[in-house]
Amino acid sequence: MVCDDFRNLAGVGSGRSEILYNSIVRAEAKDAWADLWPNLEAEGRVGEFFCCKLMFPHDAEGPPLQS
Amino acid sequence: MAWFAGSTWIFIDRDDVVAQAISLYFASTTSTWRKRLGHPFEAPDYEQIPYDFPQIKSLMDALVAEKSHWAEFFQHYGLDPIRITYEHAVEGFPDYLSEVFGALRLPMQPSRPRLLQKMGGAANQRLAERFREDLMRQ
Repeated sequence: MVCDDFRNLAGVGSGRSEILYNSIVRAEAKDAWADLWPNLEAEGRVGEFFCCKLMFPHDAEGPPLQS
Repeated sequence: MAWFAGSTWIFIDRDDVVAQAISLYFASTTSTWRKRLGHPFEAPDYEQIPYDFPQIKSLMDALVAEKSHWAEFFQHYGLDPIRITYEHAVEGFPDYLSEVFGALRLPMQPSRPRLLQKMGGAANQRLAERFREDLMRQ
């Protein structure tokens, strides 16, 4: 809801909020982030920003996101 | 984390984790995750969804763990996110996002109607009440 409201109030309309999860984790992407990034970045673009929702996997030990 | 350097972090929390677990339970059971203004929508019959205490408890535990992981994450990286609660987001549209737009120095168009609509309110409350009672008996 928050991502959607943000996109809407910024004037770019609705879009997928879980871009990284759906495109990388759920899709079991094998490509490097650098290769995936151009398309993902375009999808999540809000003006000069990139908007995306991040979640911890429910079985994660936490805390770091590995780069 | 290098990919997120310079990001503005927004931590979205929900005060009522039981209601959150039931929302997740409804959504995963019906595969209905969103309702958009102006889009065709066939509302699921939430009253027909069986009550499944272990499943809801499992979802609640996962949400509590996720909340804890985010707290560790922000502490680990020394981040101070903007905090938004779901409850505030539901009731406070569009003003609840003023801090975010201000932090980003981005113009906000507050006259636009909300596109994503809330679902399952009354059914959620009923199941939440039953779940809380069962949880207390444990």
